[in-house]
Amino acid sequence: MRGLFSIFIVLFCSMTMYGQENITVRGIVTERETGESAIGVSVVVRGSSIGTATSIDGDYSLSNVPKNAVLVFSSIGRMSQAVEVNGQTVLNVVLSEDAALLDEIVVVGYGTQTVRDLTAPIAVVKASDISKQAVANPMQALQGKVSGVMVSTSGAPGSSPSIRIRGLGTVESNASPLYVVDDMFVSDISFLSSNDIESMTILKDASSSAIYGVRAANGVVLITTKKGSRYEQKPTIDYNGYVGVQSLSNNFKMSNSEQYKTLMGEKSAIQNVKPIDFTNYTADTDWLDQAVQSAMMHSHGLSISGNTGKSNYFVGLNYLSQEGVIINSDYQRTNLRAAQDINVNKYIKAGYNINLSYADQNNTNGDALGSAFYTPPVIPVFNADGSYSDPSEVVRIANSAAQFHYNKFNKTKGFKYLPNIYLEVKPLADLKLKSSFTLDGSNSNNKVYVPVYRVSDSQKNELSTFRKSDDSYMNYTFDNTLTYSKVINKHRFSAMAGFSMIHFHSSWLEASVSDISYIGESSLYIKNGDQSTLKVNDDGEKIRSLSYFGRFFYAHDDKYLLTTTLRRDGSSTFPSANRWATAPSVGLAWIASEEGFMNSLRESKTIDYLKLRASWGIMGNNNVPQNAYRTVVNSGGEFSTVFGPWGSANISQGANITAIKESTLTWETVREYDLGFEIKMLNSRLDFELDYYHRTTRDAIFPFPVMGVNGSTSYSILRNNADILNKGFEFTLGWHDKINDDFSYNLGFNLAINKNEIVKLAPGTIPFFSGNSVNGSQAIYTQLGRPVGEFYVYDVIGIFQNEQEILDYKSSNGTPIQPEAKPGDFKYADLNDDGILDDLNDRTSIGSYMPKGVYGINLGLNYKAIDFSMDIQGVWGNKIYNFKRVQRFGNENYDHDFYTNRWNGENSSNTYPSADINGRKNPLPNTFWIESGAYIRLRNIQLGYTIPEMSSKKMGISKLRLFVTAQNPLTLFGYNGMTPEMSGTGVQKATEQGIDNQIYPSSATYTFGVNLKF
Amino acid sequence: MKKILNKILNGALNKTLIALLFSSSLFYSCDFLDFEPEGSVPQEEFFSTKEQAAQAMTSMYGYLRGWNITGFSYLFISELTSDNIIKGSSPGDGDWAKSYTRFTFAKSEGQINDYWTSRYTAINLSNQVIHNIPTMSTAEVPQELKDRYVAEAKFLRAFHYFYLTRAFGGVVIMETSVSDPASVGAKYRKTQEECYDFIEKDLLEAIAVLPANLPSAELGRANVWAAKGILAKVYLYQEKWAESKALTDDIINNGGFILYPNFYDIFRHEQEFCSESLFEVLATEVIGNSAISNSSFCDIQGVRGQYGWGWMVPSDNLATAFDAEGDVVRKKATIIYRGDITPDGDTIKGVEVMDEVAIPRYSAKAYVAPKYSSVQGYGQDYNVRILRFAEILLMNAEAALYLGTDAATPLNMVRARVNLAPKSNPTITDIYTERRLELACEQDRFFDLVRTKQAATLLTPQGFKVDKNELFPIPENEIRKSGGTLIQNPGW
Repeated sequence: MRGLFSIFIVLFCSMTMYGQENITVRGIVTERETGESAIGVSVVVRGSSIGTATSIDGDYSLSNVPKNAVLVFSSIGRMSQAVEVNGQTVLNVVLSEDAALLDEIVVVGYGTQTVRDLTAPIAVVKASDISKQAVANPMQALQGKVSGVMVSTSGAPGSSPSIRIRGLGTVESNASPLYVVDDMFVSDISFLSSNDIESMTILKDASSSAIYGVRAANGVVLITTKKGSRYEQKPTIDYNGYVGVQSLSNNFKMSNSEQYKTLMGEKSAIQNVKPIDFTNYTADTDWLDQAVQSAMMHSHGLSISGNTGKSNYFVGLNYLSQEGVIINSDYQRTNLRAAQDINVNKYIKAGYNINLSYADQNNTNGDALGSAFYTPPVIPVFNADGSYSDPSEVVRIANSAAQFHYNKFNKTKGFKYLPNIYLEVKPLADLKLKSSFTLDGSNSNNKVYVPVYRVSDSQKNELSTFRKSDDSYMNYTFDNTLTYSKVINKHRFSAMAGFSMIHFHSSWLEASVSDISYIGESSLYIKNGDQSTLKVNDDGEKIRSLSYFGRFFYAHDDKYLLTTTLRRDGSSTFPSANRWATAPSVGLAWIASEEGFMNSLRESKTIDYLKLRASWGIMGNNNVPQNAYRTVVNSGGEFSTVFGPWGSANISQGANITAIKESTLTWETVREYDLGFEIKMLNSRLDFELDYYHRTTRDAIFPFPVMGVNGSTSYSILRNNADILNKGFEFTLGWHDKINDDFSYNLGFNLAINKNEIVKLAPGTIPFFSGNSVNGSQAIYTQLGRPVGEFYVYDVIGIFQNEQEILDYKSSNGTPIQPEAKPGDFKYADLNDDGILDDLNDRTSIGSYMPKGVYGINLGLNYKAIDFSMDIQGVWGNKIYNFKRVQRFGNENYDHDFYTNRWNGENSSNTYPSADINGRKNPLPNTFWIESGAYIRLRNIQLGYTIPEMSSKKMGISKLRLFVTAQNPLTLFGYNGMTPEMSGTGVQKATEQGIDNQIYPSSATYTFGVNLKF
Repeated sequence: MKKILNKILNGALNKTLIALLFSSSLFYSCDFLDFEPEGSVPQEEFFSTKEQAAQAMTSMYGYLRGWNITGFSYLFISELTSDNIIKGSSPGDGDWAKSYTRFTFAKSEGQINDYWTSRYTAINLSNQVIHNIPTMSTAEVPQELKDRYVAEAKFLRAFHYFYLTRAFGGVVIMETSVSDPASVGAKYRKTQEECYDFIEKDLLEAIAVLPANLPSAELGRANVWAAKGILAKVYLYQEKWAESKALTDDIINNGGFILYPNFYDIFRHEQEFCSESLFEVLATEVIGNSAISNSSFCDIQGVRGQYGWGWMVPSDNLATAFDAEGDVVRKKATIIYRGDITPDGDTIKGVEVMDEVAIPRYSAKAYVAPKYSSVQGYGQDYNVRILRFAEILLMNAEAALYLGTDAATPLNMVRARVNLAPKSNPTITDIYTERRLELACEQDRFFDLVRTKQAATLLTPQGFKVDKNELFPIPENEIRKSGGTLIQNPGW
């Protein structure tokens, strides 16, 4: 390592030796269309941070400009212009309107670059796109916006969506991308308010993310929070708010009482048992309807920002409140932010960015939601005397309404702080040293109280219980970077070197107590319960990493671009012998449109811009399970006991060594290459971008089987023994045009296609089943040559219509294949024709929850003061396991679709089985229970009206816009469930996704809002 | 400040600053990444204190009450396959489980796998004790205590191997613990004879050390009588009549055991570790502690809807067997029907319609009256009875019959307790019948039928196939993992 840095140091020092002469440049910037002076245009020396903005009269003055510099004039909504100084001291510039935005600045790892200089596929989502969406979590706003980013949202208030960038490259580890908020690595950004976000940059390929080596393997999302203006500006007050109402985005119908009785009658007949006598059951309860509510949502953001000339500042306050569409759930979040950059003097800049967030959440009871699907409609919610009814003589399911009622106290409150301070020293105009320290801390507690209640002998709680858990973490990141940039004639260089230390420490403490006095939340303290029932548990986790990294950028004649990075990471997650990994990357780009032979095309505005890119890089993933390589003592409570006669109470602690681990575990590394091009045509009205990527995760952690006889409590050990390939295309097409001053519009389309496959397994590794099981049978199987976490199930080839068909169904050697079947049962293919249906030989692979393709369509219109936008988004080629439909323990209710289409006599159906869903081999994972997960959704429609300036100015308001939004107003899908998005709570493993079990449904939101600026 | 800036401007500090920053990082790298795992004790630190030795001993007992050892797979393998019980529950619930009653289960069926793997997990807990405790310092753990821990571990290891070998035939004998490098490598099955030799050796070594009497606070741990009783049963399985007779005589004459007068009461909480108990699996409800209160034995079998799932219910075949013998006392204490009022004064409701039977019914031996606490879940205080004195008497009678000595006395002691007339000249059939009625719903019937070779006649109508179903298949998964070194049982 020392060697590498010596090289950098020598490089910097040698570069500083070039002397130069500086001048002061001034001028006036005007707008081409109106001829008026252009205000607030940024004027920057390309490749440096020397810059200013035009005043109210459109003039500027910039000192310390190198004689041979290029000045870049840019302003939002206008075509940027680069003008060579060539020793001139007066430069007057005319800017025309445009949105090509090639000189727009993009945040990349540990620095910034202009769009023109990028050599990697990097997508940027702007504040305006994010704040348009009426969603609580900023990541939800990305859905359908960026090709190659798959967002799967949950409707539960306060939940985080699951994000997959360019497929799925890991089996055992967390597959979520890395989030970098300003400088801090975080695993989730649900604490942020959409109003605080300036932009999100998605680093998709290895060459752009490799600089974040340790955690970059799943892609990186850089979040830049809002700051005050870079140039002098008087205080501006902004208010953005909306209020709205949410309802279930898709209703789901269960069978009603009559239908249920019919189904039960059919089932008893098939089972050949006495039918349940339903004469006294007169109720017709819609249990799902009991669980659903229409819900409010409102959001308010207030900020003051400005720039005094010496420093800029931003102070913001945000509040969001969202009720859930399932009863007893809601979420409130308050955010406070303060950020300031202070120019101490010519050489020193310092600043801070403080993010505080407080969230208060009521969590609904997932079991109660599950029961709402199952409780038969013949059961009334209440008995005649007003008490909750007992379904247990019909079905062993809790009364769902009672379950919701008695288990409603489940609150989570969390406080998170994310303060950052930095110091920037510029000993020379071209050299910048930045040291940044960020703390990331959180404290949250969850309280669950269950009162004494009794619905029946089986649904009861004899002693009140209270459980409280405290989670906290304290992380810090210490980043130090050195950036140097230089222009010498046609050569433009910039180099960055740095090191970063990351410390992560988390702990939790949980205590529970029974028989607690409850007079409200105020009395819910562990000390107020029966101390003999006290149970305390805690644990902690500590991870550290240390990284050295560098980037070198070179542009020749603004046509040939090279970016190369190198990073070396050490992580405590791995044993010391395998701790360090090196991640290099290189990106090349050619701006072909700058070549002479393209001049005519450029001048005729046929092809305005054409860039070809190629990149390659390696990234690592240390986001593996903690202690994956260390054997630790298992002191789980299941090993403790109470010796002595009945009534004894002294607990003897039990503990032992119960598992094996391998100390050879090391990094998963991702190698990726990317080929792409970007083109702007027809006066930059048409944009097109295409990328092909090929990423292989080598040494992916994959369970290696351990024989049961070893006695380990886990039946596999983790080894780096798989290679996983993701390859695909990303495609973005845009058209924007301005017909006249009153009317402009834009259209966008993005699409990504991904193929996921396990391409190598070390010898001895065997495929494994995973996910929820019905009667011990699991549906997800991960094997060589197939995608990670694919559904692998029996193939339904029809329904047995009569006894004769069952008798006739034989393998070629004459063995009856399903002799136990009854008419109305699934007929399964005996794939190996041996007469026996078994898990290994007769199942077939039919796709996973990861879609083959994801797409988004965006439309925007501006007519005079009216603006309109619409987003559509969807996925195809994915599968969902309709687990809630098949998991049954007796006489649960059926969904209405099943009732309508079921088999109920010869030739009534050849796809749906009879009402005896759980009979014989019917509940085995099969092609009927796995359904298509494709959907298309109208994601967002917004209509806005900006009050004409004349009227608003009178009120002392500089801008007033009113808008109405419909979020998720329409989702079309064929899947038989409430939602086609299976995003549960918490992190989902790649091998356990796509199962519909207690999934919180999504909601449609209709809001009215205001943007106000003073 | 000015001075510093001037220096910076001079460029002299560039190198210094850079050097400072990067050298500090290099300095950090030495130990920044090295630390003990947070929140856990590394394996190497275990087995160093007397508390840890006790924790390892405790873990062997705590694990017994879990889902597999005395829960689901236990009930499936030991008795659902027999003529004593059927699945029960509502029609449509767990239809697949009927494959055990009908012997149509696949060799990949999950309960077989669970039964196998959980016993080996338990064996590892014993192996850890057997290998690590003797190496601990005697100052920390006195020799006498070490010996006792090891003897208990050997008893439990033998106990689990006995349950394995009678289900699967010859199995893999693991003498090394999971953390021992020697445990890696190809695995081969031993013959059943070798397994029995291993079991006998462990039990004999345990018997030499285990105490005869346990203080009240240690009830639940193994004593010498438990080890002798299991060994007597191991002999019985090998038809070593003389050895079995000698051991059961010893227990009868010297153990101080008395048949508890009221048969129904044996299975109530008050009678745990009563005068006829040799070995029980401890289960305790600790309010607020769901990890300890995790027994599923009664929940699985409890009255459906009212208390539990209503699985593993007595068959009509069993009810008829009680009636044929005129055995009223044990029938009432073994089967409870819907509508019955239990001796605890509780009306049995449950579901209206039960799978495969006209009148819903449940195992009375796993019934826990509502007067007992069930805050943490149903029947959490219920100890699973593993070996009772009544079975010692019946083993003694069987061995005596084969040896031509007095079989009537021990048999009639068991009969007298439940008001049945004595048999003066008992036949082997009498003893088999007595075993069935006495031990019904105590998870012994299937193995007993195979041992006594009655399975062919009694279980064939259910679907039992001779020369195949005497043994369960080695779990398919385990065969695959072995890479072919494990050979499947004949017929599978």
